[in-house]
Amino acid sequence: MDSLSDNTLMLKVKEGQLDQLGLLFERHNRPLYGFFYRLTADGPISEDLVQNVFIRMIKYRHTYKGDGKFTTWMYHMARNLFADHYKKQKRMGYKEDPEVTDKYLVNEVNAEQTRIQQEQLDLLQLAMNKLTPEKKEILVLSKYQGMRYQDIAEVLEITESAVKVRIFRALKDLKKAYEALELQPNSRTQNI
Amino acid sequence: MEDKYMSLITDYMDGTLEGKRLEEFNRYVAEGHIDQTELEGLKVFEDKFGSVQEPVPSQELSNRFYAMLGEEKAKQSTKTSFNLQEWFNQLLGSAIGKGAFALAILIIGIVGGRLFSNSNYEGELNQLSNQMADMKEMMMLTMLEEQSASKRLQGLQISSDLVSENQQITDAMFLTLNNDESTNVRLAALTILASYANNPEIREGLINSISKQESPIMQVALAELMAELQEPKAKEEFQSILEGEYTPEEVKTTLRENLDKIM
Repeated sequence: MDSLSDNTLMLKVKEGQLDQLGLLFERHNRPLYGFFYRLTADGPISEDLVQNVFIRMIKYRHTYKGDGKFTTWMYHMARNLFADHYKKQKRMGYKEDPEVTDKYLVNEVNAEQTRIQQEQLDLLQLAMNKLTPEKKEILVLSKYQGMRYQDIAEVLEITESAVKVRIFRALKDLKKAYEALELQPNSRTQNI
Repeated sequence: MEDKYMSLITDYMDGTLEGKRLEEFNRYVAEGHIDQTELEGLKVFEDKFGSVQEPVPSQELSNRFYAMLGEEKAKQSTKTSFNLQEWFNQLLGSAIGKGAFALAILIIGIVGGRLFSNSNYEGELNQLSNQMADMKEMMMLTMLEEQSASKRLQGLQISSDLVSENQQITDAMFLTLNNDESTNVRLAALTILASYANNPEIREGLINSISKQESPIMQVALAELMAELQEPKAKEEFQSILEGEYTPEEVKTTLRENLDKIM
């Protein structure tokens, strides 16, 4: 069954064979989860977002033309969902509201520590969270998702050389943020 | 730092720089536009991505996905009956769709209308003509019973177009030809039947009628018809008339003249 391309499977889904979406889910749920997880540093939210990508695939399956790469279409949806999530979070004052920020601390003293262990937040991830969403996103796509520059260019709707320029800038900023965190004694408890 | 350097640096760090672009890169390093020491540091830093563990979603993600897929499939099967509506919505959603739909309705209307009206028209016409035939037959049979010769003539005229189609009319026509007391009526029957002489049955009836005619007018008329039809059997039929002692000589001559035309 793996011999069927993503494109073929999605076209079958479009024709109404919804079962075929199961195969696409098996192939792409982990990379998608990784994409959201690197951007949000939050497991449950990332799972919600992955689920929403697949709900959108069903909802908008009639718009799928199959003339481009399936993953490009998929990441377009993923980006839109993340953008919606980000805006909502900002509107809700997520970062400023200590009650929301500390939602993991409500009933457990060691909740933050547990969360760090569970979600394997390392220094690199903390440094990533210091970057602007745009810089974070391009590094996630290229370094974590391993996407080709050409494909990133399509997803972000910019030129390939613009992708390279952005990656270099983001990488430089990330290194700076990482080095700054290394110098701080309690860097792992930094606000995310 | 300029954008053109950054693009080269990214390729350099990926190890995909070669040819002219590599030469260009080396030139920029030599000229001091690109700090190679910084790049090496960045390269080492970049390796950290490789050692990062891939985050793994919980089983819950998979469970929720398949639950959602199950629900969608259930919705899809209940939606089947509304597919027509969905199809209409999709069709009417675009200008081309609307145009095509309008054109299709127009064509269906024209073709359907024609077919329907044709079949209906033909059906009605058949019914009407059948009713007409029945009426004509009834009228003819009634009129042939009339005392007045002119009524009987009218009766013959009414059903003249139905002779070969309707056996009853044909029989009534021959009955008139052979038995009607009026020569005019018999002659009229002969004229009508003569126009159907191509029909073997009618032709046979006409030949048989020869021996039954006593009126010279009828005998001559039949002889002329037989000559026209080139019917050899007629000669035999006329033999008794030609030999009959009550047949006027002028009539015999006329009959012979006509029969001689038959090859």
